[in-house]
Amino acid sequence: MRRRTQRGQALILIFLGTLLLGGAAGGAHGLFSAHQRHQLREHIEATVTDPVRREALDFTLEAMEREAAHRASEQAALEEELFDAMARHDTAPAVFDQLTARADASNAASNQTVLDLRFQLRGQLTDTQWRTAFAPKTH
Amino acid sequence: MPDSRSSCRPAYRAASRFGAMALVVGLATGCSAWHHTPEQKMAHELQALQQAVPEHVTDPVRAARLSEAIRGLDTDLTEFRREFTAMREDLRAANARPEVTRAELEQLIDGYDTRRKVLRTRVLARHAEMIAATTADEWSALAKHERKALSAAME
Repeated sequence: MRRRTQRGQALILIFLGTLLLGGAAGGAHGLFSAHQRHQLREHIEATVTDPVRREALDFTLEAMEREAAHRASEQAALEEELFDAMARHDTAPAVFDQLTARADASNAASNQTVLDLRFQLRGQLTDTQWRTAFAPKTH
Repeated sequence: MPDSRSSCRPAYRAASRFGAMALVVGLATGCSAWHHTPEQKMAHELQALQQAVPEHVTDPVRAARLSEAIRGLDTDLTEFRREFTAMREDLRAANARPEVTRAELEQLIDGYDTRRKVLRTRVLARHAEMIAATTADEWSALAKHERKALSAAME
């Protein structure tokens, strides 16, 4: 049940790729769409029968979902602050500098985490499994 | 003793009718909006912003400055959408290759991020131009359109 809930969350976490704040569907988070993550999980469930490998893969996929959710939450909060600042006529330019600097730092950290997880996942799948999971038709 | 089910019937019927009407209206109007691309939504919101200018900014000189800034914003957001779409396709194509290296992916991500930051600077400059061309009251009427256009660009 927990996995199904998280899968549902993954499907709805179609993030705002952002021009002003970056991250989310931009940056390393753009490596996998929510749809691809969903298909990848199905592919693993169908093809990896070894329980030890399955557990390791599940661990990586859960970590990817957690990072995506964490980044989405940060992104939403930053966006709210940014749009509020833009809606005010008296916002000082320094406010935008501060907000974008915070977003850039958060993006950089999240990109590294997602890349770490991407290569962790890559190490857990064979070449064939990887190619099958990310064939162009999976878009 | 009144039948509670009977007493609920008129309210139930009214709710059902309202629901059915809402569904029909939704199908006729709202649902078509779900199929609009981010580019279409963005163009629509920028057009709404442009159309709102003469309504709220009566000074022709400032209205012209504002319209010019909105046209610039249109150009910048269109370029961003193009960059973003290309980046996503490149990144997913690279990711699909089992032998792709971390350095290759980082190069793609960093390249996109650099271009995004240049565009971000331009968009924030457009925003500053719009602020400079309006009074606080005028901006309070126009800001919602800018927000909607930016949100569409970020989808």
